[in-house]
Amino acid sequence: MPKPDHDIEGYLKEFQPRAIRALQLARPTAHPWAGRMAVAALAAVMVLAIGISLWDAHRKTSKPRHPGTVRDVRTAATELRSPRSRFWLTRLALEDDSSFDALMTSESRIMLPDLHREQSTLRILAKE
Amino acid sequence: MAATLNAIAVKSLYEKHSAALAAYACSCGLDFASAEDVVQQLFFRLLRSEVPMPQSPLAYLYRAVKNAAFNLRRQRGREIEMPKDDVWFVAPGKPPEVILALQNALRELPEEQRDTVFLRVWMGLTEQEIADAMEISLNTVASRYRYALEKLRKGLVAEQAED
Repeated sequence: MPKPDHDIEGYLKEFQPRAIRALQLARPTAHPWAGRMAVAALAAVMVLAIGISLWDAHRKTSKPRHPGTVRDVRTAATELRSPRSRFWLTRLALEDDSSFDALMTSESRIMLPDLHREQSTLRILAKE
Repeated sequence: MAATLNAIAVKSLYEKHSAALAAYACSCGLDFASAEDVVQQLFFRLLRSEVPMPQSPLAYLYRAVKNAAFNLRRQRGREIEMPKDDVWFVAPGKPPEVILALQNALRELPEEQRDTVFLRVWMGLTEQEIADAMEISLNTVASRYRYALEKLRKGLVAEQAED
């Protein structure tokens, strides 16, 4: 313990500040937001990949089915009458002949014959 | 005139003065872990050249650590208790009580006297450099240092008497 005034400075120098951890040179180069941005980018890529795979799976499973029930046939007939179904119907004819034939057969059973045109089937039969 | 230090110079400064700066931050009221963080962040900024280094790096470092320590304390508020056995000095052959007594005596000093002691004893600045760093006269530095040593001596004797 120091007693005389002139000795106190020497006494203080007997104490050394405690060393702190070494400076890591790699750390300062990283931007503070870099980690979060990388995570966000990764999440965005994952969402995109999942979205694409779901869309692809949906596209594959939404191929035309064989019309098995009356409801299926009616649905198909409704689609047939709508302008946007023409593309679907053409594709069905190209890709799956048997389904297309089944659909046409069903359609012919549930759709009423046309009575308004002069050359309609019913008018021809009536004349005969 | 400002100049940017290169990484080697910054690292050299860190090796020589980081411990004293951390101890100084502790004397400003931070715990050792926080003081360590404050000093490291300061040197990271220097390494990234975010801060132009003035002619007197030590004076700048001392002021920067002081400001960072006070800002951190203000952010945290008063609710955080300082750990009483947090040691920021080492002294081979001396028991921990003696080290804690010195730390307490340093904390009891008026701020400007404590700054003078740290800059003179543990950062190795001359009185003229301290005067420039603190923007005060040489006589003021000398008197602050003298008063600080006197108070430290009395404080340490009183602590020893209590024990």
